[in-house]
This record gives sequence, C-alpha cells and structure tokens, in this order.
Amino acid sequence: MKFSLVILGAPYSRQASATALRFAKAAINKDHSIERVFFFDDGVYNSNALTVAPQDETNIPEEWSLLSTSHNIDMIACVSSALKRGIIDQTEAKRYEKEAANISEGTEISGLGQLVEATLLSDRVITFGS
Amino acid sequence: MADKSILIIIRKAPYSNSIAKGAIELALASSVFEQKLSLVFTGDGVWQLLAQQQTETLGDKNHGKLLSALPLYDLEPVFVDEQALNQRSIELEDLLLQPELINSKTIKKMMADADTIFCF
Repeated sequence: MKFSLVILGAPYSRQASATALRFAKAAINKDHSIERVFFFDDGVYNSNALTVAPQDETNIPEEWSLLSTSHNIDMIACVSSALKRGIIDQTEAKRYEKEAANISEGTEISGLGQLVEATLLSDRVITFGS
Repeated sequence: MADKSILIIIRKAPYSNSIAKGAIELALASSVFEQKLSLVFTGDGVWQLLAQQQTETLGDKNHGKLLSALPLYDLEPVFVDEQALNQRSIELEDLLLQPELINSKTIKKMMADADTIFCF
C-alpha cells in the first residue's frame, strides 16, 4: 500500500513526529511504500538540520533525513509554514538575504499543492499530530 | 491521477492556532486539482465563521477575509455542525459564507463517504 504522511507536530514538543517516524519504518519493513512525507505547520521543525539532540536521545530530523536518502522518499516542508519558522533552503536564503540555509538533506520546500497531489497518488494519507 | 473526494474537518478557533489558517489554505490549494472537496466546521472551528472579526489591534490578518476567498474557488457551500453552534450560542445569521447546517449523523456519513479526511 502507498502511504503519505502529514506531520503537524514539532519534534520533542509533541510525540507526533517520533510516532510518524516509527510508522514509516514499520510500513517500509512490511513492503509498503511511502509516497511523500509532508511537514506542515509546526511539523516543519522536523526538517531543521541544525537540530542538536542530547547524546542519549534520537535526533529526529536526522532520522527523517536518513530515511529519505536511504529509501528515496520525497519529503516536503510547507513553504508558508517553513519560512515564518526560520526553516529555509539556499534559494530562499538568497531571496530573503539570510546568512544561512538550514533545511535537512532530503527535504524540499514547496507548496500545499504537493500535499493535495500526494493525496491523489496515495492509497492512504495519515496525519500525525493535531 | 485518481479522482478523490476530500473532506477537511476544521476544529480549531482562528488566531489561537496557526493550523486554522493552514486548513483553509489547504482547501484553496485543493481546488486547483478539481477534486470533490467538502469543508466541515465543528467544535471551536465554528468561531472561524463569525462575520464580525476585527483584527486591527491584533496585528494578524483577518481570518474572515481568507474564508471569503472560498466561494471564488467554487468551494461552496461549506458545512457547519449545528450542535457546535448551539453549544456556543452562535446564530447562523452571525456567520460568513451562509453555511449549510448539518448534524453529527451527516458528518459521520460524510466521513464514511470521503476517500481522504484531513482533521485540523
């Protein structure tokens, strides 16, 4: 089955993204596929590459990156949610004259149309967080 | 791409939670794909529909104006949970967009009929 995941919760503040991460791994292990992961609202903090986790805790944004690159999963951070929360890529950094970009490897910044498209391409869309 | 019916259930009041705006933006984005889309306002989400929203002192955009864009995208009628209005003593004539009143039974049926549900 083809799943798409919508993540609304910031890592560490909410359980949502850690649960979503486990769900994604479990689905892949059972030979399902993840069509797209869409980070929306506070969920965009999951794509902050500057996240530093304590040594005995999971680095959730890093885990998403690893999952994306190792299984070639499309990951999108909603542009309107991301920019106002300081999650930016090189293009946006240049456009808004910011000193650095911090988007995680494997995640792209794009619009809500990508979430609608994912809905049409997937068998199930599951939202994590509220 | 397959045709799908999408149901967006809106439960959050405006201004207190950023997803209130996100949910409406998702509805507007969906219209580009020409899918069947229904919007249901329930719980504290019904506060979003109040016609008299004044945001001058809030430093935030008027949420009602964003909602007013829905008919321009052919996203009408929107549906509102009658019980949620009654619980909050909100009258139908105080609302934007002339929403259609529905009860929990209808919401249940809409949920059963939809291919994808977003609940914000």
